[in-house]
Amino acid sequence: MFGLDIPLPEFWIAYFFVFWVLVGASTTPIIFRHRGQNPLLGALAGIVVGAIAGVIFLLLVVALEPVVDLLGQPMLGALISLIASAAITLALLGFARRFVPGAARDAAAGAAGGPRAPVTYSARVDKVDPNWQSMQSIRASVAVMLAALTLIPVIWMGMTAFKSYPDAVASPPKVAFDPTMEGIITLLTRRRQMTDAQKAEYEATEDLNWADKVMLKSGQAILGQSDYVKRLRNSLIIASTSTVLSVSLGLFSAYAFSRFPIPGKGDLLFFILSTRMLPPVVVTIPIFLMYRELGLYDTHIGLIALYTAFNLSFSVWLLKGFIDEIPKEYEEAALVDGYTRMQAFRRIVMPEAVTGIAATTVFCFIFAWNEYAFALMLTTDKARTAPPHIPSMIGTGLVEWAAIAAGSLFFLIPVVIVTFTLRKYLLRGVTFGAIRQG
Amino acid sequence: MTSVNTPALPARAERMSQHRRRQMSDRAISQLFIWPTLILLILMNIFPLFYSLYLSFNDYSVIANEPAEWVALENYQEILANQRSRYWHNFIVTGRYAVLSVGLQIVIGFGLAMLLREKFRGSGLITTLILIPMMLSPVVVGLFWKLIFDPSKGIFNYLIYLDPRAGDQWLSNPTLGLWSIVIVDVWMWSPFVMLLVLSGLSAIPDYLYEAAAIDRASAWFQFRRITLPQVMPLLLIAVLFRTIEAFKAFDVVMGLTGGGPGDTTETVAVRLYSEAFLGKFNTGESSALAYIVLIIIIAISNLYIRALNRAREG
Amino acid sequence: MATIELVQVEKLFGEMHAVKPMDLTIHDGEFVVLLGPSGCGKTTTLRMISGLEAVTRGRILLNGRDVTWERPSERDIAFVFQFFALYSHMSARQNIAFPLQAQGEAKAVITQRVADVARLLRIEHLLDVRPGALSGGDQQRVALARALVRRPAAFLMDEPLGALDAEFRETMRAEIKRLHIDQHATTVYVTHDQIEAMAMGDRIVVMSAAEVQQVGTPAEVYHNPSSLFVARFIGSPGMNLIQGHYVNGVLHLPPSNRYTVPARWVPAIQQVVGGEGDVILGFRPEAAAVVSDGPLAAEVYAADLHGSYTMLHLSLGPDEIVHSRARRETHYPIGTPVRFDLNPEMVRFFDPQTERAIVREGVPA
Repeated sequence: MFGLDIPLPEFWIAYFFVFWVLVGASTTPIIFRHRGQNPLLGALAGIVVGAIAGVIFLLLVVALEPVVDLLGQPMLGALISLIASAAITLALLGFARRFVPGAARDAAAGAAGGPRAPVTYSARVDKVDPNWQSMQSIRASVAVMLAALTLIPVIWMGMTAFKSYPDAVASPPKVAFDPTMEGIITLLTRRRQMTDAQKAEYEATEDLNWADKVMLKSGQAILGQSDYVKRLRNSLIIASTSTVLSVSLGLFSAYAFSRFPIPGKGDLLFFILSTRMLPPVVVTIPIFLMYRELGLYDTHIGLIALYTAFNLSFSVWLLKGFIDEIPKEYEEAALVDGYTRMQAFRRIVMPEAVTGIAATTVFCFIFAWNEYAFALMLTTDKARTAPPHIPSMIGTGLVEWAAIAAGSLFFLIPVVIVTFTLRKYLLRGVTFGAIRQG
Repeated sequence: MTSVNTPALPARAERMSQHRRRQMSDRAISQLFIWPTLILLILMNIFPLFYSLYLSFNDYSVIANEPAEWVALENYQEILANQRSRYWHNFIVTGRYAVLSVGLQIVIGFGLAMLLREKFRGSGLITTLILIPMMLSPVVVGLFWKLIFDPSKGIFNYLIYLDPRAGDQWLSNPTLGLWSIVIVDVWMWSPFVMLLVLSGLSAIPDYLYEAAAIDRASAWFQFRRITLPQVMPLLLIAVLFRTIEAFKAFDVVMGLTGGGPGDTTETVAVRLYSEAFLGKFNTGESSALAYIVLIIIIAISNLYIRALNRAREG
Repeated sequence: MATIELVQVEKLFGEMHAVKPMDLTIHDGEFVVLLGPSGCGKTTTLRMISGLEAVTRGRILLNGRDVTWERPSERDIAFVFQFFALYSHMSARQNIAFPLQAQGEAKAVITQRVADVARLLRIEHLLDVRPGALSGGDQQRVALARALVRRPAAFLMDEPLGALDAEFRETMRAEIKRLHIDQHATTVYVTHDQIEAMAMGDRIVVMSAAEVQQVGTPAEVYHNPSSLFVARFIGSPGMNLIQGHYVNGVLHLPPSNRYTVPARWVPAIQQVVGGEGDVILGFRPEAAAVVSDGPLAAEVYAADLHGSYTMLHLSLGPDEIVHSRARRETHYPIGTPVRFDLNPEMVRFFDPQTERAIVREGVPA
């Protein structure tokens, strides 16, 4: 990049560059504002300073390499040189801030030492200090960069789904590629490889739709739907039915546990929770035997019943938490007004608990949707869901990564959407309602 | 309810009493609401649990056309004594995997939470983005990381080595195989620890820090004396959840390595699966193994819950 | 010990004034109470003094040193919070020792000083208990001990008794007052309870709607309120205020009462309203006495026995009720027409336009 032998892959050079520019662009305006200069000018200066900091950082990594090589531990050495370089670069950045000129101070702006712009928000004195704010900006920059890093596999999957077959398995991996629907079509269809003669004949037919044309490029004719479509349909049916069942049964039980005096309530609730802690494999063997006897093996009903049972403990606990939050007095008022218990439950409790019900529904759905172990062991074909199917696609001759990526992507999109809509309730969801976000 | 608007009081009382006779008592309702749940749980969890216990004392295979033969503790003896070294290996793998991944998750999750603790513009979005891996299907995640770890076609080696082709074969290297599972597990579940720690941090009232600031406590002193002890119970909960999950680890391992290379990443859960369903269909012995796993999980949970109570009481 | 000076200190939250520019000097060893209804800016003022809130404009001086932009930790002040702010995971002893440990004091010194302060507050037997197991009063004693143990230049207290039950509140009020007398430490105390303010303060700063209404001793704010707000806010019930029409030395009050203004008030009133105009008459319940030949006529609306005295509610018109403090054994059936007189030393007048008190020579505002 600079004619230097930098001991970092290109990706990290770019990554650290972006990081330093981010740090520069977010911290320099703070000091500019503090000194009474134009913060926009500061942002501009910050980008330049950040770029310079990036160069200094890389030079330091190079310079420190021989020193840390003495350790003889390449990984540790690299880490030490990264941290040391970051520290020195930060120190230099801090030092450079001293040269930002201070504008003449407006007498009304207040006592010396304070910020130029009046503090018209609630903040502790040490938190309006530009040093503290700069630290916070650096923290935010680190968080942004880490979030970007976290998402690389997900983004890579999204990219792979739109790659052509050779692009998907190219070595080195391709970052720039021509997007194609090949992977997605491969995933959803069964195809036949054609000879050149067949291809010409096929090409001449009138009624080719766009998907046919895409596949024609790799000489394949679409015959019909693939198994994946069936699996996805199974996933959808099984996940949604079991979700409805476990949420409604859970809602009844949660209401009873929340409102009625039940002998041994604590023990019962603990028992319900503990069923969820069972490793699935512990109960699969007897359930497998049981299902074989009852003819439930590889049936939709079998999986639905199992998922319903496994989600019940979760939905009872989560919903109980939500119902506990509805004041008892609401129903008591209704009961005094002549409502029956059932009416009060339907007209008072259910509407009040609707967000809780929605959150529980989604969590149950995700569990059933993502479940792998039971589906693998208790189904073969008729009721098989997508999670055990996707790995088995590797086994069918060619490793069609584009198709696998597309399959995974279809599978993940609903979950990602749900994560966003449910972010307020995630904490409750993953801790069985034991912990609530403030 | 429309009957509320009845004009004359006696008539209304009459109506109400009729009503009462028709409507169910609270007791009946509570029974009606609870039993379906309990029946389903007994059927799908408790019955299999006892059935499993029974099977574990028998020599039985689901594919053999022979009836089960009572062998008392022979299956347990087989696992704990005769074939100890093989099974012991699975427990070692699971233990190493649990310690490594839970340890790293705690450190990384805690670090992330400290970064995201003070709100900044877009911090909510960043938090949610970081949480995405946690919600994904583990088997799909494992499978996809398989491509990422691929030494020639995957991006992982291109990201960490200057010369990727000379880089490690992550999934087919006996030592790195376990590490690759740990990496994926850490990627998936550090956000979980972060989420728990963040909620713990937000529950610490501001005035504790205000008091500490006035009492001239340094940032480090505040962290050590306020933040850490206040978040400790939640950290322990995170460790508990993650350790139990590590013993159940199946999906990611199956997606990523399938237990290989050889049996170097064969966790207890994977071993259990292969004993019970692949090849031998060794039902009796695998039931015994399942019970041993169950007992270990209960023991660990108990230890943690005790530690948790101690942390709460101090 | 310290003097605290606020110079044109001002706080904005966005466009809204939390505290309008205020000047205040708190002398060494003084106990100053910031009093006002919730949202009046008293807590914000206190937090600005401590550095927990950055000022928008103005300066804060501690012993003449400008501390406006110094961190809370650099100011040498202690803060007692309404909800005690005790560390729930530490015992009382650890809580009290915390500020000393944070400063890296020697162990022996810490032990000694914790013991001293525990003796002072009579909490020696509670030192190994966690805050969660303590009563509200004891929690506040521990919080006070934590503040005292540092021997700071000044104490800032934000409604320290607000979270306590009534029975503890009275005891703790006396204890804090006593501590202040013994220690003679500069103290700024925030409360919305005017009884607390009257009982404890050397001086009271009455605030309302982000503004300082009046600064004065408890007697001054009680007897000579500078505005209608202070007149209503101080005392329970507050000052009786009746709007009347002033014409040449006579105040016409509803329904058809005529009150002859004491001669020494006439010039001051005329300076404000001229020969004729609306004026509000104010007097404390103890300034009104029912006498058969009183100049003012009213009707008994209600009478409450308060133990040592009876509070009469006298109705001058449909919406004009005034309170009069009478002897305990006084009894009037409701509806009795009565006449009452006002102690001329204790009447005050207000301008309804500006809502400020009309000031007469010899009576400071």
